[in-house]
Amino acid sequence: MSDATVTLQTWLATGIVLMPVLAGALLFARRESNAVAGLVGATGSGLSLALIVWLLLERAQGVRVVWEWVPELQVVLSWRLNSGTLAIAALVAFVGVLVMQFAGAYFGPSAKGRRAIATLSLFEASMLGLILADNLFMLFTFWELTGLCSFFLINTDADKRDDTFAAAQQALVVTVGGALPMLLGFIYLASVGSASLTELYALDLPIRAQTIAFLLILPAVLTKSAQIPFHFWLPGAMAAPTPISAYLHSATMVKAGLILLIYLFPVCGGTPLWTLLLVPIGGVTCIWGSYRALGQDDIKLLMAWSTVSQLGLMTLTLGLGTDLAIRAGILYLFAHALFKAGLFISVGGIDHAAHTRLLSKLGGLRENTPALFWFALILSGSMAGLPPFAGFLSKELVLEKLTLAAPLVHDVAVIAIVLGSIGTVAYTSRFFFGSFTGSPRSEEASKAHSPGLGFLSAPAVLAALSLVFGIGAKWIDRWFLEPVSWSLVGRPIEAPHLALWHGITVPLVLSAGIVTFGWFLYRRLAGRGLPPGPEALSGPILFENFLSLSRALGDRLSRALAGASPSVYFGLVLVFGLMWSVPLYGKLGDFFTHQWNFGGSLVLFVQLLAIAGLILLPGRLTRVLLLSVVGFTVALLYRLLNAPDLVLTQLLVEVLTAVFFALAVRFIVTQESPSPIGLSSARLAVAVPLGLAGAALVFALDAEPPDPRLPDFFLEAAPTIAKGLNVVNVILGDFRGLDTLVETVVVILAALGVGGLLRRERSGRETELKGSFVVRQLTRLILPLAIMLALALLLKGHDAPGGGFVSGLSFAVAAILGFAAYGTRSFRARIPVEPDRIAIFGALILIAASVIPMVMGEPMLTHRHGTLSPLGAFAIKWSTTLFFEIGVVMAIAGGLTAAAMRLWEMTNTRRDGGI
Amino acid sequence: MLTPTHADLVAIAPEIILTITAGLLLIVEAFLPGLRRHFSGLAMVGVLAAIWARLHFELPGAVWAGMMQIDELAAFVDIYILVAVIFTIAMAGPFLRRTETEVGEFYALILLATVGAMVMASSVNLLPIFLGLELLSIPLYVLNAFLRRSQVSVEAGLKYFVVGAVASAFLVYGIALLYGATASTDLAVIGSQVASSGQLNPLVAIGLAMIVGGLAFKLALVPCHAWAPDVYQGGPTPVTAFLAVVPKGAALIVLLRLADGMDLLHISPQWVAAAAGIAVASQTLGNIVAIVQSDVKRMLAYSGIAHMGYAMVAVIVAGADGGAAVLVYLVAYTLMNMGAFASIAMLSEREDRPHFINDLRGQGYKRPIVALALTTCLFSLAGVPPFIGFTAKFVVFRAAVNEGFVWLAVIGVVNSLVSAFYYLRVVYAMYMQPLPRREPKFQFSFQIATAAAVAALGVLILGIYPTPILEAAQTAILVLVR
Repeated sequence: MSDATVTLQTWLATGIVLMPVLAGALLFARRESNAVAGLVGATGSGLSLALIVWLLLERAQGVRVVWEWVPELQVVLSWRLNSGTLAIAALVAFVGVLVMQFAGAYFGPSAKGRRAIATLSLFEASMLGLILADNLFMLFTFWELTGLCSFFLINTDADKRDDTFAAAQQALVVTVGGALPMLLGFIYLASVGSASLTELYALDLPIRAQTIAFLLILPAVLTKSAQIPFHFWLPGAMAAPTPISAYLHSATMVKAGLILLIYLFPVCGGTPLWTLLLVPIGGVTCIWGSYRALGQDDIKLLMAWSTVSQLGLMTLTLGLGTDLAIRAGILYLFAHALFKAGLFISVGGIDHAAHTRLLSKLGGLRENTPALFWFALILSGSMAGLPPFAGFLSKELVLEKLTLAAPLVHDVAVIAIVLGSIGTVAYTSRFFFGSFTGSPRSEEASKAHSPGLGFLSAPAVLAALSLVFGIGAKWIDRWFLEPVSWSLVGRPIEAPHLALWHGITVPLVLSAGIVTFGWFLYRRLAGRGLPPGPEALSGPILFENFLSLSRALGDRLSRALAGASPSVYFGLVLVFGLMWSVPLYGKLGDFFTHQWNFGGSLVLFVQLLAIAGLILLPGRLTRVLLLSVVGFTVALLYRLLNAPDLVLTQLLVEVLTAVFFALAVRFIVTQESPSPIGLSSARLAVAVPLGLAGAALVFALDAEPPDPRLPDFFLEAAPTIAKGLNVVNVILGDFRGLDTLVETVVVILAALGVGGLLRRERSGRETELKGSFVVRQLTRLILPLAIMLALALLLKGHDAPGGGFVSGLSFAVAAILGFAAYGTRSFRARIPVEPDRIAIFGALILIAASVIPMVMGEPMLTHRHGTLSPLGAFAIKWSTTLFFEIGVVMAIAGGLTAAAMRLWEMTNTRRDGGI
Repeated sequence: MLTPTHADLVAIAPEIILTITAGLLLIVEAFLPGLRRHFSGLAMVGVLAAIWARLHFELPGAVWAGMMQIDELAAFVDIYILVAVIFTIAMAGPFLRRTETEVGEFYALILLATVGAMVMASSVNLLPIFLGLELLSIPLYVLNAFLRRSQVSVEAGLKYFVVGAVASAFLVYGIALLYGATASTDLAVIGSQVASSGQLNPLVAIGLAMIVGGLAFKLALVPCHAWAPDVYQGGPTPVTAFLAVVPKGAALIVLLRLADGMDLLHISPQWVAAAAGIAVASQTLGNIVAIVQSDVKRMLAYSGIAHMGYAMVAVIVAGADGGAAVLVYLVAYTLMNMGAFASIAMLSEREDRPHFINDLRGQGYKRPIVALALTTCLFSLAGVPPFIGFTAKFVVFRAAVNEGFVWLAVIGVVNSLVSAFYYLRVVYAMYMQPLPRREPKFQFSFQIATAAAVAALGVLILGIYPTPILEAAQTAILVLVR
């Protein structure tokens, strides 16, 4: 085949899908096309049909790639062309032409009709895409698009009825949702085989893979093709206007599931579950659909339930899983599409003629609508499976292939088909005789007029085809069924030939029996309806239950969650984490062998007491103080470990934390003091194992020797490189100077932020709080000492405990003491600059300290060190680190003081009284 | 002295730019408060400059003595975070003006939190990761309580603070334990030690559990999710949008680095079981509880819990597929949420009242652009094709199925189905229900409407043609799994 042919065929195939899209777009865009909407829609479908016929005549075969859409995800827009796919597409386009024409007549020139036909065209395009797509993911996309379009289609009459939205939503959720596992199935197939159907046909997947894929795809089939227990959306969808039902529920939407089954048969038909699941589900659906159809008064609902029943029959047939069964299924699929579309349109005609669809009001229409009577007769005959119509042929074939099935499957299938078919004969008779014969049961029915040509042409064509299909069995077999089923199954099928007369065979006898019993059933019921049967099977109850169950569960959960305290969640995480520590419990034995230091044990004991107090004592301030006690004991532990710098820092931070805490606690509005946390058994149950696990962990970690590299490096490098003996300070000021720089900037920013946030809250009375006389006098003594201490910490920091950070903290503590004693106003008057300005100057110094070396051509934050001996007698060590440290001091002291002052002022302007 | 090299500084140029912008905003706020109108513009310039810097300078790889890894992955995450920040700032301007809270601190805090998230996501050492997390969290505590006159906002800030502080404690504890077990805080060293030992010893396991617990708080995964609805509901909407997206992205990347580095999928069935449990529980609980919410923001909080459950599936799978899926999911999640929150920021009357779904009745025709944007984002959140939310789920489930986690994927799709109910409810209210008798007065803002529309367009366009995102994610993740 030449490249040009391939390109042409690619375009033609794309055109098949595009034509209805164009028609739809045209209709959406142009208001004035109201009157010719049906014509535009039918033309779109007609052009599609023409292109399909063209490709059929060319005997196009193989995959035509249009666009490598998302190659990373194996999404490729490509068409799979063969006589099978094209024949199904032709059916969809052909029925499309008829339905669009009918819809034009049905809606008349209205904006609603135009929109409905436009949407119907888009739906048709999605359906054609679904049929022709080779790539599984494209198939999925088209599949979901049909569901989305159907949502809007079912909602067409939203202005007239209020049940449409619920019905549309049901259809959407069930069919779109059911397809989601299918996506996984496709992903799975793509991962074990290929995302292309054609390539999958060439592979022989292991049974396990086939089973997994089948199970994942099955929900999509069952939901789309309305199998129990997902069937309920289909009768609900009858809220849609008749043309839409005629299209969606005969040839297209509901067939998608069956088409998918046919497509997938060569890929995963080998799994035993194929038969084990599809046959019973199809059987139950077939019988139940028939039963419910018998009980309907509304003939449109009768048709809907009959569709459910026949879909069940087809599912069952395909489920038998032999080549022959697939062949029978394909034939039935076509036959059903023809007669069911015709019957739905006839129902539309009856409705139009008699203004009612209820059997209890119809009757005797033959007089006034003779044409419709004859068409309906042929179509009903086909549905009931009478010779010489298409329905008879396909039912014969369905019964024929049963003889080839396994015994048990055979029995189940025969019972289901026979029962379902008896019901079919009965309800078809009910519909036909109830509508057309007898005497009219209402005034409307007696005044019925024959509907116009627009209502009659489609049933005429479809009835004629049903007849031709039956009579021309031989040619149909040779020119249609054989090539179509061969190309769909992917290999030739040995099968008996179709004919109206095979002689007296088992299927024929069964058929005769079915018709007889069906007729008797109809006579016995004589127009009476049947009870709807158990709720569980009868309606959207499942869906509703699912929804209300989810809702109730959600309600319960959200209420339960709202009440749960955070400690529950924290506890959960802790328990979860520490479950892993059970193997470490053995380490607890180290408790007895550990070398306990007396001082350390004493400090730990005090700490334990404080913690116990925290849990058992009431009161906020008590707890703040006890928390400080815990902090101080930690400082003592540092002292025992010979870490004076840490001791200093810890102490000062503790003091400041206590001050800030005390100030902040006053903002808590409630006056009553909180009750003790207490020890409940649940808390103990979490806490005790957690504590033990923690202890075990500590012992386990203690056993590992510490890594000496870092301490060794710093101990050696501090005196030599940075000329300082205090390693901690050297690290802060020199080795990791950048960290300190950035951290200090953070402190400044935080202080500025706090200042800004609190500033705007200042309002109300300004009653300034001062310390008592004693406090003021004491402060007079302490303050100079504190400042001197802070200065000493700064200057000596390089070699002895101290340093910029600690010094800054000390200054801050001194300042807090100062304004607490004298009041902030007089404190402000005594200091030259506002604290937040000091912080900013500190930042500027820091920046200078880091930038100046860079200007001098050295790395950022390089320091110089040396010794100065002005008189030869003193040796004063100097270091530019000091400059840097001064910046740190100013920033920390300024920032913290500023924040504390704001807090102080706020607490004291809001309410009177001090701490 | 251990000085940073030129490369070190260039590598974090975006972070430096943002920090300077934040400082500048604070200083201008303190000294020239008259310029407030221009603050959002200034912040925006800073963010754009940061994006420019990230795209302009070469990606050096390991910097800061191997503690940070500035490569394609870092660039991907940085840019996605910065784009989220652009949306945040865009909706913050009009929002703050409406609530009369526009001050420099707001933008400064947002920018600092952004720096934190970026540091967290591009660090390969537990210490800077922790620093990043703190820098990210602390501004958010304040930001959530930014509407100080609104009780719910203050409550949100406090809740986030308490939970966040505990989460940080978990994380630090976990880091300490991992250090104790492996004598390193370097993820590569820890990872190779653990992976080569072929199992999790108890110390590593506890450490890991603590770290995952800490991160799970940030991700609002079950059982650490309880803060999310209250905080989402109470916080100012732009902050909620930021909070819903940025910290989660950074935390997911850290999780992914851990899972990949230790090869957890292959060495620890316990990890797989625990993580899968978390994923399933988050999805199920998030979706089921979302159904009964009447407040849009609370609903989105629960939806966020569920979405992180989906993302968790990708984390479990890890490797090239799972990693790329995480990144794609993040991009999708960001766009959808930004669009949704921007719409809600406009479709609200008073910040301190609940944002009832019922208040949106009839808005579909009243405010067509914003309503359409919201609809697009909600459909996308539900995972409907052809929106990016679908692509993201597709990629995640694909990774899961390819790695043999069909059951996880099945639970995921069933959950997606459940989620459709509550997303559709909002759409239903907007288009199918009439305007209420007392029409809510929503102030129109061109800026917010544009933000919502841009996000929705992104959701649609990248949904139809996802190749650029997919390719970028694949390139980025190759750095990690190489």
